[in-house]
Amino acid sequence: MSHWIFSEEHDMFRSSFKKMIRNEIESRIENWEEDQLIPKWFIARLSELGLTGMTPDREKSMDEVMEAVLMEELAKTGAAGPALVLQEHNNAVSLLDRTNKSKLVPDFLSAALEGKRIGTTVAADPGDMTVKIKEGFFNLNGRLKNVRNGGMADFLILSFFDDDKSGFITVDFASEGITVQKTENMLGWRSSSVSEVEFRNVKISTENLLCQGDEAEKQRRLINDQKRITWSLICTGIAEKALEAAVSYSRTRQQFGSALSEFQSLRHKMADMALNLEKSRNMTYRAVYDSIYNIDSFQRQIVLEEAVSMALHVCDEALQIHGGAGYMMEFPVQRFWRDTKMFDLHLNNIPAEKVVMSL
Amino acid sequence: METVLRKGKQPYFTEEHDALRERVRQFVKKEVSPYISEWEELGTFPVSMFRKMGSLGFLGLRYPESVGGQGGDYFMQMVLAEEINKCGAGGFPMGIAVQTDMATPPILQFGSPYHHEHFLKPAIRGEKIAAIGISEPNTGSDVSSIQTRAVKQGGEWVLNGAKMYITNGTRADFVTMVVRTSDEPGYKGISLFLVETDTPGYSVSRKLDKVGMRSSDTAELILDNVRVPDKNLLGVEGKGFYQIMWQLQGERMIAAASAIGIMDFCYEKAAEAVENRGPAYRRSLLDIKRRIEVCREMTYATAFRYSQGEVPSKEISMIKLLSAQTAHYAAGQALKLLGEEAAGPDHPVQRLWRDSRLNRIGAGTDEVMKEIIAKEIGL
Repeated sequence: MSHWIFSEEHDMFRSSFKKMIRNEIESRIENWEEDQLIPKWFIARLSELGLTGMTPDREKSMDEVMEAVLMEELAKTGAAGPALVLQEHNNAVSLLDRTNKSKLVPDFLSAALEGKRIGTTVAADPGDMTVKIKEGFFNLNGRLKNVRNGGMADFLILSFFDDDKSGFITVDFASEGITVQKTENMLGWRSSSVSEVEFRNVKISTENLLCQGDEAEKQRRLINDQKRITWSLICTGIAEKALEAAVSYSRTRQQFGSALSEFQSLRHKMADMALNLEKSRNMTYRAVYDSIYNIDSFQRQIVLEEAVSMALHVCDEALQIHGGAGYMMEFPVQRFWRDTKMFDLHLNNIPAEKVVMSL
Repeated sequence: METVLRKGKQPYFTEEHDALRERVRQFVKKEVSPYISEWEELGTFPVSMFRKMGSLGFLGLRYPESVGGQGGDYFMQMVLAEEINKCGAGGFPMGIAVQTDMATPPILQFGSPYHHEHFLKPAIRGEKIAAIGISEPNTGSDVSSIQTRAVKQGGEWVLNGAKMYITNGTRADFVTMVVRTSDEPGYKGISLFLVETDTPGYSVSRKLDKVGMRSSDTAELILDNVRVPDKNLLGVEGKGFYQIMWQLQGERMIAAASAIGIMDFCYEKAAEAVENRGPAYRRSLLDIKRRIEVCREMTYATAFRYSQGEVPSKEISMIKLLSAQTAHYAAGQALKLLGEEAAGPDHPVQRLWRDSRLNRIGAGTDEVMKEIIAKEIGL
């Protein structure tokens, strides 16, 4: 029996999805990390198999628990990239779906659900970007940094604050005046193709406005909530991979006449890692449950911080157990370590303001 | 009774659990907390407490009605453990947990109808006090090395040896005893016996003086040619090591539940006192609270599996380790926040800081838990 949140159906899904990942994705991860780009067929293939979460036929969409399994297993490819890419795409899709602007359905929502077009979401920094309304158009000037999926996405859902206005608009990357420049050699998340997007006098029809004001605020909260859970799942997946790597390396590496796995200091270190992983995993599953039933719990508020600090600890110790090999780019443990640190850098961007208030 | 996940609310406890929690709270408030300092001083608690709790059904919450229990699920047991551990000391609840979750579960699991009738039922009624005898003067963590020996003579077994750190030991009516029954080394040749303490040759050599858990009595026992009838052999001869390893899983589960009660209590005491003293205090409280909630979630999720009949030893070892460390940490941090005023002899938080230290030693030390986890993850 696994954790109570999973039904037999979920367990079956997990094992078949694992197979798919092993056959079609795992062997390509190293290349994608090297290229700093995941090819578009990745989303198309997942869509074709009905594995992106939401499907054109809503009846066949996954439940939230299955989506959790999906993200966790994707992260076990040993890089955050694929799961992050899918998450940004899904965020864009679900925003289009929830706001339901009929003009935007054929070119964006339907195409994205079929995996033909890829989306991403990003929040504009008001210092770097202006969004003005002029004669029925939004006029966009400035730049967006750290746009995930930048190298592969066809459209972008932009969250903006400007002139006391705030909202979400859909922007086609093919619009005139947009240039996308990939940011090479980031610390981590390399396959998620982080990019810088420049806007020069870009005109976007006001029909592309998805929502504004209070509604936009609500959507922002939903996205942050989803992000907290998805990122926790990714941290759990990567940490599990790191622990597996440490266990297996320690069993083969011989020093002082025996395998590393025979040394009690290392056995207990790995036991601590396993415990830390499991406690964060349990918090994460509980947060998934509370999110489904909209229970405003302490668990939901702190889950990401717990998951990130767990993953930092587990990946750092896994690297340590590898010794000199852990420092080498040819061993994936250095990537687990870099990729989890990236989540730490982003923690401040996802407010957990309620935690202190709930005391 | 099957545990039902309550969809859309918190998933673990039903209204019946909540009702029991309230009953236990009232009991603790009236019958335990007012006297706990006195019992701490005394080094034990009155025998009448077993009777009282037995008559309220608290000693057999999850035992089937056929043996006099309440037929509840495992979360009923969790509720009891959590709530009695909020009495302001760890000793009294430990004595009760030995009765309900350590010495008697093997009797239900492996015992004969005679064992159920003669030992289990009176223990559930609180008429007989139970203890469990595993550790010895020379054997703590390494259970497979016990030396107490039983030799068969006719229809009896003759027991010789000593048992150490026995909770309830000074006044137990019977002890679920782990004994070697053959010369085979290690875990082979170990068996369990139910030993009645009025048998000639059985004696309490001393009552031990402890740094904490003082409201619970702890004894060293001497077995000098104690003759035990064959019918008191519990389970299968030679399978005692497996049986006691099974027993230890339940012991570790209840240790985790008890620790939750301790950490909740300490947190509440600290929060009451310092919540309004500014942001630094609030940050410290938040840190304690976070650790508690993480520990609670993992303990409940594991207890759910246990309540469904699974014995996930990796996760049980994990929550035993985590809850012991978290309870002791929470007690220590709460004590620090409260300051010197909490250092007085009757202050429950300083007491729980001393008491909770035992959680990291009893039922398998932190290090033993880590070794189990290491094996379970493939090392």
